[in-house]
Amino acid sequence: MPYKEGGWIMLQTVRTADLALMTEPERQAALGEMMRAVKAPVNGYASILAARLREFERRYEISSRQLIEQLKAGTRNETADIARWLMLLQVQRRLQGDG
Amino acid sequence: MTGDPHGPNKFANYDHVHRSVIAHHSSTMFVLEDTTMWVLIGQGQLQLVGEIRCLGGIVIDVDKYLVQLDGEGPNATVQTTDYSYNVYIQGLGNIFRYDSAHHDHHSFHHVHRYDVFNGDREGTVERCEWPTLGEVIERAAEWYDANFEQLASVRPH
Repeated sequence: MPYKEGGWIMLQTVRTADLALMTEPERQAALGEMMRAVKAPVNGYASILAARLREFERRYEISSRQLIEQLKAGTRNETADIARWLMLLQVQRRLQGDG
Repeated sequence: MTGDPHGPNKFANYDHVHRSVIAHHSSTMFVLEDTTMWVLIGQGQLQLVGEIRCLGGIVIDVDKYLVQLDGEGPNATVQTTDYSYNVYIQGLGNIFRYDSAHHDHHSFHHVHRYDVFNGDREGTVERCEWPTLGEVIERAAEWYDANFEQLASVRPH
């Protein structure tokens, strides 16, 4: 979890199991609040995304660009970990308006 | 907005389908626990991530991203953009994994299949239809039924 400007960056999360325990009016209100939060500008998540990508690059000792090259060349196996990495890159592209 | 399970859908409907699928598979006792959660990314994006723990030490690792298209409140329209459903046995390895098209590699819906009882880490890859999470749980349950005896032999009680 990245640390920034004097505090840990917290993700806004809602457990699906908690939604299941709510009454219908409570759930509708919660879903509405969630959609409002989703519409807001990205704040902490951008730092978390960058940190996760850095962590993948550190762990595999290659850049994200090198990962793509190795996958295209067939020299890197697409594991579950790699699939997550690729999806994070796709999220990053969308946040940058290039997805 | 109806018919295509992967088309744009109201967020409230999406939530209803998820809860219904989990409730159904919990009632059959295959799903033991759902730890998935929504991550509210912002800028119109959200993620559903977590584990669905099942019988036989089977875990379905859910990681999917959606975008908010339009509308307000619980009836705002959302659509899935990327997903990965990795089904594995704790302490043993992967059984199969459904992935959406990647940007630069395997640019189609595909499934990785592994010979989990023989330590297969490479697996095979083939094109597939885009599955719903409910279909992935059903296929995991079918795999469990078909491999119950072998699974019991490697995961003794």
